[in-house]
Amino acid sequence: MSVSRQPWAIVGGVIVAAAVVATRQGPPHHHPPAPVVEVTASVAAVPSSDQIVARPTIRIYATRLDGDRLVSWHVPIGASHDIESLAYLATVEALNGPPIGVHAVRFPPGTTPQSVRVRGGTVYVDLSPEVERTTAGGFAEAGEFKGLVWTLTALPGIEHVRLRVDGATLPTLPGGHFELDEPLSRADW
Amino acid sequence: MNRSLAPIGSLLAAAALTLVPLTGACADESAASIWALGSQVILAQSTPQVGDRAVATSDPGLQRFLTRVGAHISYQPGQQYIVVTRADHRSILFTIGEKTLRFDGVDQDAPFVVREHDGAAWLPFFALAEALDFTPVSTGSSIVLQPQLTSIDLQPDHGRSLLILHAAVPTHPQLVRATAAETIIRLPGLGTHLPMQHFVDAPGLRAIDLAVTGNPRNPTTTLTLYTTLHSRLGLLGTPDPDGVVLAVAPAHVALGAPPLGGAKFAATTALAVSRAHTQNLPFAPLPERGIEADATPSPLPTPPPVASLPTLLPAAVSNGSSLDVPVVNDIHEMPDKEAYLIHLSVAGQPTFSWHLLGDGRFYVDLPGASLGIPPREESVGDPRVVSLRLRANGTPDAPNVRLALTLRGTPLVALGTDPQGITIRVTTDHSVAAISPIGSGRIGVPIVAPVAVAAPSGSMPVADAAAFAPGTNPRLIVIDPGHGGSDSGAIGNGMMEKNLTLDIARRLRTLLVEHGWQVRMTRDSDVDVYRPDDSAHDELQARCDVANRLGARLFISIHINSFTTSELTGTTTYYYKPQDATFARIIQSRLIADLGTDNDGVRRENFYVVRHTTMPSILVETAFISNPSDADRLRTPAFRQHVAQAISEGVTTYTGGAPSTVLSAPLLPAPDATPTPSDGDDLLP
Repeated sequence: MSVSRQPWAIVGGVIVAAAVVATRQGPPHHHPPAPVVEVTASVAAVPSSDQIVARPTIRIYATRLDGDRLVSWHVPIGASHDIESLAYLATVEALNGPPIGVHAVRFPPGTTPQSVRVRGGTVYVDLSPEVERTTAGGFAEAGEFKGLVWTLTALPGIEHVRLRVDGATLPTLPGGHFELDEPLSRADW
Repeated sequence: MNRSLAPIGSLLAAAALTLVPLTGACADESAASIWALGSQVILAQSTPQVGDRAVATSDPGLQRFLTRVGAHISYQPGQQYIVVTRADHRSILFTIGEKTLRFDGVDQDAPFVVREHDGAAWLPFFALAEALDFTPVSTGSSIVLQPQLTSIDLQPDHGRSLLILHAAVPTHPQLVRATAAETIIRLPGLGTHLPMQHFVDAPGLRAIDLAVTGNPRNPTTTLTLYTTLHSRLGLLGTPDPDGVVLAVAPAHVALGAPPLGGAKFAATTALAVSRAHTQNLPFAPLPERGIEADATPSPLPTPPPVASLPTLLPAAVSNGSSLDVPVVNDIHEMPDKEAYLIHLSVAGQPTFSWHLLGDGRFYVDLPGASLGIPPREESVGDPRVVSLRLRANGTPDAPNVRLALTLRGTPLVALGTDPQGITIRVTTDHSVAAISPIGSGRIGVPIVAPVAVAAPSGSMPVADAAAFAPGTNPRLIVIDPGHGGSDSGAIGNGMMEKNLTLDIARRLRTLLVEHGWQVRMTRDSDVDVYRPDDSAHDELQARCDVANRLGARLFISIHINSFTTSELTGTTTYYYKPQDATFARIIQSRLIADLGTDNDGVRRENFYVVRHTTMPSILVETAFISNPSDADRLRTPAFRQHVAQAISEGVTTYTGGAPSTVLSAPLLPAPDATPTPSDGDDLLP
């Protein structure tokens, strides 16, 4: 447990834990989940009161260091549920990876989406050139994109992910191994 | 399980600084300048608004501030979310149209509704700064964003205590004094709003005091640890770039960390925990915050009664510097129209060397020097420079400071030195005398007549057998030593992937030829297969073309794995085409049986060379160059010979025997020469 200058940070975990139980027992009483969002038991708590507010979330994935398993976490979302905004948020969170301390394969620091577009069941993600600054090998490349693809295909109606880097379609990262110029789906793993 | 430090009233509160946290009224002072980390934060696209300052996501000053604190912002006009990612990878989320700041899954009221205007989102700057653990402090004419020590976690761990500190920025703790019963550590540059005193009941530790001294712009938080008699303290690594982990062990418990307080850590020695060091230190088993759905927070224990502790303030706090070794103590960037100038201030007269690589990377090494300022790794918004990184990347026995630039395009690089340090000029002005690709010098000694070094050139002729159609050379195996030439592949522990793969490939070739196979290498020296500095597509396709055009029976690509941290080990064999799974499994089985490495399994991945070759194809990731244990193996010729032997045996198993006994196809022209690999091959970068 921690000492923190933010009171809500100290008590937040307790409230979240309680809220998880509450959510499991019944539907949330505020902000019912939009139909386009995969709603889970994760909630957010208002810091200044004991009021528990359940919110819809999206699920973010990253590849564990064994290369096989995935770690996932939930990000509460705001009022907007349009699929493109959700895909953008999901991409940002997947590129950021889990908080420091969670052992997972991570994208190179500074990698961000330059654009995210949804057309039909495919998300088109243009990654910033920082993604090319990898010092890791094939294991990391595969793990990075596995987490991203699983994250985006967790969104409703999304089946494929097409990747570009700095506006260009690349067959692989420089000196890399993993092929990027064809649509990726969960079936690739 | 975590333990809580119980906050109680502080005896030292009166000694702490009287800081004035910024309130809404203060923030409205539109004329006040904003300062952070010693520099003014100039927000060109901002306006006072409702007790805060609205700043546009496109504001260069905001971008610079975020870069300095290791954060970055993601926003795409037209979409609803703005995400600020902190250095610890935790997200601060704003939503267009909402008066909310969401951090760690918790909503906070923002001062105003976030709006989009002219393609930018307008955010509350001071609220964002607080979420980044900077407290705005009004000093009258200016507002100082003071980095905070934000949390202290205490975890029992195998009979010892782990004290986990987190701050807004990388922390450089300095040991002030260590006695049998107390240790005083100061954290320069940090303020804190944490309670000033904590009684704890943890192995080796009785209580913790905090005190803040200095002024709003230059605060120092001092940490006094009251230990049980003869406890020892050590410093552990942490993946948190803004964190510090101290181990406290009672006298009878193993410390498991480099000790503090010994001769190595004189009273004025900076402990120098930085982002650059964290990967080389053993990781503490930190909690995976917010990830495990069933993680239940520990209840807060009841604070113990207040007892008297000796009032303690550090009597003499030194500046932590030492002139025994050269120290890089500052860096200044001066971009202008003509050039991007960087001056690296260096105390002492160390030698230095520089390398300008063909892929646009440039770096200067100062062997023997230490880094006296926080490491930096940031994007540079300059047409000539993409990014800058300054870090200590040596070992305790062989320290080194490296300044690395990633250049944009093909600018010229000039380099000069003066008694205070090194100046690097990156320019597109071709009248400037550029440096040679490789050179060296000494601080304060003019650089004269650098010796030009020829850039790597030449490529290996590829297919000389266009007459061979696919599938017509059942005795031929193509070996693909991964990377080469301008592409070094992974680098780690003093070795380069391209050298290791070539060495193993040559050994494998010898064995296969002995077994009657014809062998073609995609490269047989340190070259690019297609051409220097080619694209990944051309390079990888050229490798596939060798095997496809020759109609090889098997394709074996040899690689060395790597990861961003040193913890991963082991051997993996990859394939793509489902029918190649058996080939991969057989090779992996032989490798694991012979090598003694961890078995990371057989994996199907979308790897280019195993996908675009038409014959059974595998890619072997032999071991992790980034792991010290695996690297030790890779360093030995015997291990590399075992790798070759295992693959050769696997080929025999998969094909059912040597080709001369099972095939009668016509022979190829003479195979590649098969020199015996030299045990002395240079594997160093």
